[in-house]
Amino acid sequence: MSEIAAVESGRARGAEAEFRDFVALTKPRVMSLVMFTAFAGLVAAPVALHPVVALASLLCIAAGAGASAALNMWWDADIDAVMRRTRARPVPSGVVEPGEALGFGLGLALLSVLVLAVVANPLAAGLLAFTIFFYAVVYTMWLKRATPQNIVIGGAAGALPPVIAWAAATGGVTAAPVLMFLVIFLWTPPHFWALALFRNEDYRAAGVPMLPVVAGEAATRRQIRLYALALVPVTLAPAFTVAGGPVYLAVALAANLAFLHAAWTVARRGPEDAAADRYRAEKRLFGVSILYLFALFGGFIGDAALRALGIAAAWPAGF
Amino acid sequence: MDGTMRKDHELHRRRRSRNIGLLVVLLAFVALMFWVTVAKLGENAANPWG
Repeated sequence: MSEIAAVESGRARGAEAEFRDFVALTKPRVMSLVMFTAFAGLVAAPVALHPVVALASLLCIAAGAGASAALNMWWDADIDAVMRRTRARPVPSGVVEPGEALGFGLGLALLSVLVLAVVANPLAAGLLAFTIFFYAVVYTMWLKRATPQNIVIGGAAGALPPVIAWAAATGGVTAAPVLMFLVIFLWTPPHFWALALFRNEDYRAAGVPMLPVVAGEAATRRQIRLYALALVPVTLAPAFTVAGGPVYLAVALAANLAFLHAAWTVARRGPEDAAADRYRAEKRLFGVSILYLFALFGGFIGDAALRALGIAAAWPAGF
Repeated sequence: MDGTMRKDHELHRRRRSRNIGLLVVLLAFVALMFWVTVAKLGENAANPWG
């Protein structure tokens, strides 16, 4: 079904939403990335949680991410309706009433934080509450429509899940989870700017001041290159923490090469090249960036598996 | 009594999907909380008086 047809059928369906419409409110694809990075934080932590407690903690973090997404969709329904990528979402398409989305988001937020406090500890619950607040209020309600630095600062919300998971396992936050945070924090801008380059007209029509809309394509391409460069030392550093190891280091080296290559290709191009091949390199960078993050956090999981199997070699974990 | 068969309206189907989904989520939540309690009690869970 085309997106337009989906919108029309949504309006025709009235306010009686199905279960799957509420699932869609939680942005399941974004949630899968959140779950993966949180899982990496959980297994990389030096304290092993009981598997059931670990599963419950992960589900709480996922529910918190879902709550943030529902609150984001409630607030952004007006601009989501304008953009092609988002106009079939449950609220702008009329399938879910705005009040339902708000109630669902608030209820899920409260439940996820309270259950995490009981299942894990107050620090992890506090961090989850802060994450939801930061995404729903600071990013969605304030930064997104106010500044081209929206996703630079707002990226902090998406970077916190491994820190929450680490806190759930250990009851504290050390250098390793802070570096995990920095990896996602610095990864977010080039990831979203690649998307913004080939969805520029959408953001312009919706009046969202993404960097390509405000500063132009050339400045965005330069920024992508800068962030890709900054990511190299930040993504290599965790290899020498208690969370890292040889698997992570090898993956980080290969992933950085692929990411730098994709970012460089985008940075070298102009609008004419992009228009000629319909933003092929920008779309490729967007795809590579997703694989990049999965690979890095997969590296943490790989080293955690080696340690669990007792076959980890002596490794210079400095901090 | 009216013995006419009534076809379910589309609205009923949607509502049923929500009800069944919510039931599954609630049952899963209860099961998870039960197992978390057992895990947190540790070895004493099998013999809470001992």
